[in-house]
Amino acid sequence: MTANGWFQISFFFALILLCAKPLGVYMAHVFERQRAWTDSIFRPIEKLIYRLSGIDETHEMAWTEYAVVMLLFSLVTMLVTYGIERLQQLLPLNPQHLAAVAPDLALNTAASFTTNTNWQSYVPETTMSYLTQMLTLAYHNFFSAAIGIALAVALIRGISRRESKTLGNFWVDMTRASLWVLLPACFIYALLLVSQGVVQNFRPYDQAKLVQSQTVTTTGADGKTTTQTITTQSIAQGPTASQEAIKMLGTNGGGFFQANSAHPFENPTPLSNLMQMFSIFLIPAALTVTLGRMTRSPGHGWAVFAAMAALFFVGVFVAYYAEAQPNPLLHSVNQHVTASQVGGNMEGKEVRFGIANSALFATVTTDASCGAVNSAHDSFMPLGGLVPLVNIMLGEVIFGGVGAGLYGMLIFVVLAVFIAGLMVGRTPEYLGKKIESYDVKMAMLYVLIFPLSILGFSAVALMMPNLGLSALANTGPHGLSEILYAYTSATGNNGSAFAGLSANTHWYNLSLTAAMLIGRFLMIVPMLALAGNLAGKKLVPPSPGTFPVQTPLFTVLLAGVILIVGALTFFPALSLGPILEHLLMHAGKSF
Amino acid sequence: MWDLGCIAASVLFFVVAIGYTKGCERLGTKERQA
Repeated sequence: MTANGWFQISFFFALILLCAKPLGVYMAHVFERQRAWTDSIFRPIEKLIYRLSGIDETHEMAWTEYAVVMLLFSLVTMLVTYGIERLQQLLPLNPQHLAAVAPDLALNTAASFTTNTNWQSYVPETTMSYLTQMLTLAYHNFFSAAIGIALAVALIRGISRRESKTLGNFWVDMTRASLWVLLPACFIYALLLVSQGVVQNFRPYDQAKLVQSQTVTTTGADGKTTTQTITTQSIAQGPTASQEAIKMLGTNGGGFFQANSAHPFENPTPLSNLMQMFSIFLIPAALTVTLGRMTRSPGHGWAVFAAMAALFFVGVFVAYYAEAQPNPLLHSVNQHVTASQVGGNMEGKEVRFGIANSALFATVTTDASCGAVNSAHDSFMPLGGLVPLVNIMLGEVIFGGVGAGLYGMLIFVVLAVFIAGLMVGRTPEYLGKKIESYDVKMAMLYVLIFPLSILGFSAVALMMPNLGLSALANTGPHGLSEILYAYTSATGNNGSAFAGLSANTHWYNLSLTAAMLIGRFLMIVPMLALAGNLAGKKLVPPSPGTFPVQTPLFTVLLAGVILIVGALTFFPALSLGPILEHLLMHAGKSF
Repeated sequence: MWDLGCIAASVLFFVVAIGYTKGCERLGTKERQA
């Protein structure tokens, strides 16, 4: 680790700290329908949208209506995406004449983008037409993020309202999240990315003549070897910057190119790299301030922010430390830091970004449910690779996905308050609301569905040599990590891949589709049920037995609950994967 | 055939999710009555 590396990490976090409050206050104004400085631009557009679509913006929804409308909207948009993928060869904006996407892959991709996961079992530049990328995938990047924000706002309203049967209007919240927050931010951000060299065009791919031709020998499935001399390279391009902006701001993560944010057309410079990491954390961090404003308890918002920040720094420290160490299996190679080399583990990392910015990016993208990558997580040292895996397993509540991170964190807040109440022998209270049996049941349902999907699907895949194991490129604990990571990423709606797993098979496409849908919608429903139940409660005045949720003690308890729940649930699986791999690496064995 | 299966499976999942929503609501009503 170097001082320069830590300076860059600290600078990144200082930027987040600086911008969280103004954006959080702005979002509180937008969702509480108070005056915001952008009203004169967006209010007329909003009114027009409601008039054209017949939405009554004054209609308030109970939690069940909010949930059902959200589910039906997601179903319809998912089916439209599936249809466009299957028919893209007949549609315009397909200069490469790409064929229809295979049905299982189309379903996987439709579910992936609908759930804000952006898991990609395909090479985008050779599978998806420009129309498919722009009309369906970028569309989902906006609306899955807007839905996440709307749901977080609905839960905040549940906490802040008293004796109310409603949580707001799903259509209004989603429209406001898109119009007031995501669209203007993405417009400016895309231009900034173009200034750094991110491409934005509709041209067919260029064919570049190689300076030196390459001879490649490949072996086909039938065992026949073919030798080819390659003299040209196809340079993929397209409307990248516009998709890149919402990919990061909406914590989506699906790359326009397969190399994702390691591709020089997606992430060309160290400054664009900083902008990308900043934009992943910006809205989730600001939402903690929105929480404080809307619940009239700013200190609580900052206490939640502090718990997230503490867990973030633990993760980035472990990842950076692990990656900066020399690989013990490379005895004869000088891996120490010198003026001419960075030292440590550079496998799978871009020289443009180095170790500190690769470790930081991996931590940020998995703390949030983004899934964009600028390095290969599969090539990290075992403990370095453990960090992204653990971040997702903790529920992606360390700032987390846009909206999803905050509502996930608030579930842990309810559990932390419940545990604190048990410890002092009083009925637990959260911001003046009594936490009762139904609230804890819904919180636990949310918490338990997550490992059930991850561990259940991983176990089934591991037991099936022909379906699950045959797709692996590595054996031993590393192979286990690859399968575990895939289902963790899918259920957590992260979308990053550990690599080493050929996931474009019927089994993986379909089982990962199920994991993504379960991890999104079956967790949202109990969260909304909790929100609806909290909204209906009376406000109880604070008493000496009330556990304050604005203090450092609460921050420590909250971080502790998250770590204990995560450790108890996933430690056995982790001990057979990256932890065992780390120990075997020091015994001289690699996989 | 695959297309029909994929569409039917998607619809089925969301029907189950709506049923699950109703189940959570019913549990809440029962708890309040108790």
